Amino acid sequence: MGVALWMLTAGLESVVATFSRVAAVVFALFYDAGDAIAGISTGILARSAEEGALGERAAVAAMETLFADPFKTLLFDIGRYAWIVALVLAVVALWRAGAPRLPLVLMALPAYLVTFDHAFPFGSLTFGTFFVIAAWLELAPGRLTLAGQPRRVS
Amino acid sequence: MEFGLTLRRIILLGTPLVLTVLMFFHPSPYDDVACELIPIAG
Repeated sequence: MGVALWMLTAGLESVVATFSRVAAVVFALFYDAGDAIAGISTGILARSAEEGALGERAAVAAMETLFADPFKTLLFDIGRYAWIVALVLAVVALWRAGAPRLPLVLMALPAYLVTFDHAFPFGSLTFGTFFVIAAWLELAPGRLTLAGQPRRVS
Repeated sequence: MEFGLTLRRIILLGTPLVLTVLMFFHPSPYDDVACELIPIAG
């Protein structure tokens, strides 16, 4: 999703667009790191408990330790805020470039929804709203020239 | 349609579309293990 977020402002040459892309990289790095700890690690522990390789009580204790860890929370929080910053800055850059206003306003939806858990339904809602809005912006009249021609915006 | 534009749209639109579907199958953040609700995903 970090690359998709980057693509939102690809072709736009402005300070705001550049910072949006930097925030997209930060989002990808930190959110993935948080998810690797919280999601993948607990998934492995749960599977080990299910297969009998690890006692269920031990698995539960290990998962609770992982989830109580403030470092894991910090990684997720940095990732979430970077997503929000990247979207807000992308909206500003696209607004200045003359993109349609309504989808830009609606970009508040994926920015808000990411503050919840990414498990169903919020993950689907976050990425689904991003998809609809990105498609709207991408396929809007005039967008082809915007994407194909790098533009400098104050 | 040029290759760059096609690739751009695959990444920009394909990624969130695929993730929207995949997140339907994401386990609940809390699941019943050993008869108690524990966090399994963030």
